[in-house]
Amino acid sequence: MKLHSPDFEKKLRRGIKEAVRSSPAPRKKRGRKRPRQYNLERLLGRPLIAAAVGGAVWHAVDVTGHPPTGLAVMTLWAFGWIFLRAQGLLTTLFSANDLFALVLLPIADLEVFRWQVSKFCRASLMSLADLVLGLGVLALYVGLPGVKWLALAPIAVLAWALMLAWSMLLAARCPGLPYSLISSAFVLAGAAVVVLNQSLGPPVMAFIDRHAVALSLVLPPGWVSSQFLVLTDPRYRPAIWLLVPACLVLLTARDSLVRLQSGYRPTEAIDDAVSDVVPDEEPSAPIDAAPDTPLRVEPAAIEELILSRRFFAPVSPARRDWFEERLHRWSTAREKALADFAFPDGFAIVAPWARIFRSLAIGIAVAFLLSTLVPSVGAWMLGLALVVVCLQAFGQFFANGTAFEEMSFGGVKVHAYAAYGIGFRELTHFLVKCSLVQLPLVVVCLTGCSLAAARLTQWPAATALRLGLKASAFALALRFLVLVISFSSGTNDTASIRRAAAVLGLALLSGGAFLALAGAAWYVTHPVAWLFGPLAVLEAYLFLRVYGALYNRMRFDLMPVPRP
Amino acid sequence: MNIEFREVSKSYNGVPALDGVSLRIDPGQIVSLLGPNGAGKTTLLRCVAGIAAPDKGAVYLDGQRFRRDRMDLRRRMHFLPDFPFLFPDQSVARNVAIVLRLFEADGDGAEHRVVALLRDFDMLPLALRPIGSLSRGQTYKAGLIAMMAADPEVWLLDEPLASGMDPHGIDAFKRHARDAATRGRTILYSTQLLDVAERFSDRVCVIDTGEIRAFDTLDTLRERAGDKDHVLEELFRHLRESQA
Repeated sequence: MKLHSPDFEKKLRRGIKEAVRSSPAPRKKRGRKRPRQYNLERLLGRPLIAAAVGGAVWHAVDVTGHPPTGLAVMTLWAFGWIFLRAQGLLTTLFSANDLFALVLLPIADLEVFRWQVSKFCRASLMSLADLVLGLGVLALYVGLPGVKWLALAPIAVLAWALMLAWSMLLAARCPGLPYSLISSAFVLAGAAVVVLNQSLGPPVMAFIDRHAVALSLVLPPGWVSSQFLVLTDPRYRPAIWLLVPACLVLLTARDSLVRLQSGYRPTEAIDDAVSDVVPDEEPSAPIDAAPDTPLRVEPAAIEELILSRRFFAPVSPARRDWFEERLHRWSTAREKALADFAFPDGFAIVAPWARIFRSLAIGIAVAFLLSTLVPSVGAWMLGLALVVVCLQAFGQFFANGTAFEEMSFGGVKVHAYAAYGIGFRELTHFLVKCSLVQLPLVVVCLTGCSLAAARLTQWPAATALRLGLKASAFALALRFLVLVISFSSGTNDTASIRRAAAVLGLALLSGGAFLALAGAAWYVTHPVAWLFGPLAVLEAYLFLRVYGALYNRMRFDLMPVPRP
Repeated sequence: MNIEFREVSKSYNGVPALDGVSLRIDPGQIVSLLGPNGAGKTTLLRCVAGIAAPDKGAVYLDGQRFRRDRMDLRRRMHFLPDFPFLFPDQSVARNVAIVLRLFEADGDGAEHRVVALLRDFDMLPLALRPIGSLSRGQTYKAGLIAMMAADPEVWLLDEPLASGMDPHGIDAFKRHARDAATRGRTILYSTQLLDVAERFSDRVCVIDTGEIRAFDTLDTLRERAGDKDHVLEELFRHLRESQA
């Protein structure tokens, strides 16, 4: 049996068309005009990444004036991409969602394997556009003669095939490598350079510029794309020999697939039997005393537990320290019920923040230790540590718990809060309270990060302190925006042009005002600039309220639009 | 609580799901929503729950126009979808407790209601089992128990009879629903099972291509139908024939 048979599909389509033509009711339905559908994420998401790659390459050659630097940026991106796709291949083959359905069908494992590999290859196709765009940008910059442009297409295709072959090789030979960790590190490093462009950008670019040729020649994805240098400069002609190892790697693709395919047995996952969830203090009464059998509690004991109302409390509640106690006392009875819903095991504040401060302390200590030995490495280490700490801090500060978790609902995904009739105002109030209680910790953390960066960059401490406080104010303002995004992600508020115009117009207006205020607060040194920070917070809050009004007036659905 | 639809229209991508629906459901009734796939049954339920926003018209609850910020109205109804949202890592009992607290129904006596319901649905031995380890039918029972323990004025149920519950569970559901209706609760459920709807509803609402084709008591529908024994089947046959 074939998973996808074009002939069958063609026959089916023809049959449906004939049936529609011969029957008036479906013909009438078919004739109805439908508004054009579009999916902004799908339409813009991947092309934006390609544009970012092209933009980064252009920025690199524009800043340094050296085409090899642009090529090195592209090679670094491709190097990270290989790990990302190796993880993607392993996921597609062994833990993709559709595998659970495929194993139930009467299809040979080999067919499933081929189908999953073809899916992986199709999903990787857009990276060919990244390469074409990157090489095109370089060719444009150096003013490549017309005939040589023709050579770009085979270079891009060969480079793409090499990247795929490397991904397959890694997945087949080293399936245990922490690919998600490695690719996350690449993404984080890239994000750090973009966010901290003013401080990190120049040294990073200088480093890449200094080692541009070496990076393109040594890193495997550069073996083919460095042929671009051969086209532009005769000095790089020996690089043509790199095509030999590139071809050898390409030849391994078949072997990698054979290795992955041998013993490929996608099977239905069967969960082990689980024990009853028993409160800590509950004397358990296991029915079966065998050591490996899951714990079971007698119905009489369960009944006693429920009648004693202990089932209202979390089984293993988070420890309630000073901050948790403040939040608890500040919350109304309704907010306590919402807390129970959004954070069924309790909302922990002190323990996660202790971990965040520990990460900050370790990061700073290691960075300063390294900076005494190799200053540039120390700066890199500090930058990385600060990015990781800030991500952790924002993750905790913007925590929404399970309120916005998606649930399947008659073929569409609905956020959990919507299914239980929880209101916009009450939920935002509660979640903002959770953030406000943590604000002192955010201020301490961001000021600490700022002071650490100042120590290394020789800024005055007062400047660092000011920046830390301003960053905290922006974090608070962002809290409101994150809430709007969280609500919006479960709605169809931009599904129709009319709604999209209203909501996106509002978002652009508000976002523009916010960025202007935040930018003014950040860069203007005049004392009056202190006012802009609170104004940015107020502006973000007003945006939340206006969105809430649209929400309450039922201007959109609390679900994505079902596909007809 | 009475539920009233006044000229409610709703479309998805230009395809009408509800087309000028006007309907009034009085309290203390069990109403089954019947219709072919894609007829608009779930959309009707979604409009009452505030998940779907009508393009035209409005839903009125106790004569008051429904909006999402009318929490006083929203807390009086509970919507149980075909796959209830429950916390997979938490036990059945804990999930019930969370719902009870959300519906402010956790006062004295709630624990006795919960135990009685767990017994009725044969779920007492599973009350401490994490939801994630239960079958679909058991998970649905847990959702039902939570809803019944909260005892809202309006029960909105999407396909409760095709939820994987065993015959005992379905029987318990019917008994409790009938009991709730006699206490003035309104039960609105969607189903495809004509014979069940025929036996387990005070009024039947037949919906097709977003329009209400019939909304009446079974006795009245029987009066009109030629085939008195299979009134709903007859109605559906008419619908199909009129479409063809």
